[in-house]
Amino acid sequence: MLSSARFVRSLVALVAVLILSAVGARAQQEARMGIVKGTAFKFSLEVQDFHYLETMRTPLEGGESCEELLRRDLQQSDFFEVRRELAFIPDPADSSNMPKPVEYLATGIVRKKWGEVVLEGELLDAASGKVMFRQEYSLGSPPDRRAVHAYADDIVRHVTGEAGVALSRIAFVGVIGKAKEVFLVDYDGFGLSQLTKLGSICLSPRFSADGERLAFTSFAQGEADLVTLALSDGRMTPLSSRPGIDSAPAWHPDGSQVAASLTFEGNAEIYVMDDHGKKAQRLTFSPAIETAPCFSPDGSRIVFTSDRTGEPHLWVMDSDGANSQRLSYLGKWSDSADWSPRGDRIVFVALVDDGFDIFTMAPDGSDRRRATANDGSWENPRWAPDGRHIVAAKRERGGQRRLFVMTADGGGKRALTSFSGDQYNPAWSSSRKLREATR
Amino acid sequence: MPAMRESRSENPRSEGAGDPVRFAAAHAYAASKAGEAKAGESDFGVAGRLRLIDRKLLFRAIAVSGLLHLAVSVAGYIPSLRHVRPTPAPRQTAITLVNLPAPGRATFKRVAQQQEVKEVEAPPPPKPKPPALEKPKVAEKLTPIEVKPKEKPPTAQEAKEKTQTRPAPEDAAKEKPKTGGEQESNLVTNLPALGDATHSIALQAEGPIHEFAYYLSQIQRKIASNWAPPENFGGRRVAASVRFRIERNGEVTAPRIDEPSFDSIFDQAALRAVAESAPLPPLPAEYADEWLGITLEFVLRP
Repeated sequence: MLSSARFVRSLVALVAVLILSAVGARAQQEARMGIVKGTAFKFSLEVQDFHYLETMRTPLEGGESCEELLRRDLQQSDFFEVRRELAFIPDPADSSNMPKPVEYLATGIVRKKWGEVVLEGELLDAASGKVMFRQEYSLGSPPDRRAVHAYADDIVRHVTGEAGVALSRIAFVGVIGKAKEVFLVDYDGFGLSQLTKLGSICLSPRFSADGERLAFTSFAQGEADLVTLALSDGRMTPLSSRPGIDSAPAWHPDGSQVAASLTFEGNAEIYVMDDHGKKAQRLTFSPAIETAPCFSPDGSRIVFTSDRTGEPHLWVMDSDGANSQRLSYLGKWSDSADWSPRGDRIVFVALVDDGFDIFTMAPDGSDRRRATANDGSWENPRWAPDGRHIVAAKRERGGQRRLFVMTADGGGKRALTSFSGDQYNPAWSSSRKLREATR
Repeated sequence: MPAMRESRSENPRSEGAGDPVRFAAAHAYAASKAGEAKAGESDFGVAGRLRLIDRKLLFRAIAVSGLLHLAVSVAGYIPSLRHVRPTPAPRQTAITLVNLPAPGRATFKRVAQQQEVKEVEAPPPPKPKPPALEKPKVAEKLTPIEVKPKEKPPTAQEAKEKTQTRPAPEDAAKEKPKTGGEQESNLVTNLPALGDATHSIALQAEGPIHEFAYYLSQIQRKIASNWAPPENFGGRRVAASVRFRIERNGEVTAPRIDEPSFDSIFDQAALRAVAESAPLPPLPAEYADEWLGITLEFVLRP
């Protein structure tokens, strides 16, 4: 005779088994995605139209609504398949008509709170209805795109653990008349500002890992010197004014050192110095030109360009200059390497066919993949802080150079800037510090 | 933030009207909220709820159908339980993997709560006689995780209650000598293996995470997407377990091989999958502990 406790238990067991079979079916569905590295999948997410309480539906700069921008940010994050709300009620009997259920729901309420317009964002797990996070962003009036960007980045972080790039910014060199100045723009092309007004030539800006400082080459004193610029107050400090050409600065990931190509000992060699330009230590010793260094994210290696074999190609060495070895054998010229912040890829350009194209490869030179082809000539590819996107300058047929953002495989290209005059030499900042901008 | 919640209840979002997806979500959300309110007064989720209804009536009706269902489903699973290597038949894969790793492995003994573990692993091997009743006890442990989405709404509440006050007096208390105040962090949740016929990753979590199934599935997927094991093992099955902790901010700490395979490269690939997936998403805001313990079993079948 079974006791009632036993009954209860068997009932629990029954439910459990039934559920497990359901779970099994679900796991089986997921299995189709494949789980081995390289099989990319995207999370499905629905951004519902926001609710506007006692506030005007004021469009953002550029004319979009908040929810439209959020959808675009998430789509461009490359993590999500973004959906609007369903436009119809699906018929349960017709399975062909049944949409795949979304995994996450993002909702927003725009309302006044103590006289200030705020955006309340809430992300839900669609299956369980659990609130994954809830956050209030100061939207302001007129509404600030960056509040929506901040929400998008929080969604990315709570779903993937990765830092999003919606709040990140891109510095670049823009030509105004005869001057080449450093500009700064949001990752989506809005919020353009001019950082330097030297009336001279600035080249190759590079962000420190914390996104607080820019190092670049300036000709303001007559010859090529290195300068750092603090983004908080715009103050410029000379970094290296050695005789000859000081160029191509690159920050050590911990911000304490800068690698650069200096010629004060005769021929362009790679040196590292501290962030005040002191204690320069020479890393390369060859009669050839060594330039365009970039640290690996752990600071242990440096990739650079050298023509010591006759043609310029990529080389890699330890950060003390030891163990230098050649990395690329592609085309007549490979150059402009940038090491992914994730450490797993190096992006560069190589002269193949009749122009430069963008390629990525593993840090040992293997697994090379091409990102651009038959679409103008590309320069200065630089990783986004998420290691999934690239910004690069394209020289179009007419000769003008413009900036484009794309995913690492070259997908989803979009123009970043559109004003007249060349734009090139981009650098992509991390966005962590910028969070403070929206509390 | 009670103030926030209040304002929330008047806003349109909680109405849940609209398309089915939204509706379902709102429904489950409401259920989980109700569960919060009630949690603490009831004991073991499902059992606790049942006591509120007239038990006898229910038992007669449900037990009969329950046992029938059980017999059928268990009959389906038993063969795969006996074999160490599961057949790659699609439906059975996931189930097998959930159950299999637990029994034979020393891993979970070290998981710091022998009692829990005993319940998980003891039943199947030593008492082969009444499998129909014993085996599901394993399942019992596994249920909470998928209860909410698949079953009727109240289950969200049940899952919640389950995490709050441990075992039902008439149920678990009988099984194990109670040791007074049991820690919430002793809870173990298993997630079905994610994978295909050859590769799979099963997850076991230690901590009051039952309610946040979505979170476990997120990290399982992320780590799976970073796993690149060597492939050639001459037709042998390879399995390794990795243990680590997830801190509140999603940081991964103390990753280590818990149960090595016979191949150190395979082990390293498993460790690397975890390392490359860091940081993981932050722990759910309402998760009660400071960190979450995770054990992943990486399996490669020929």
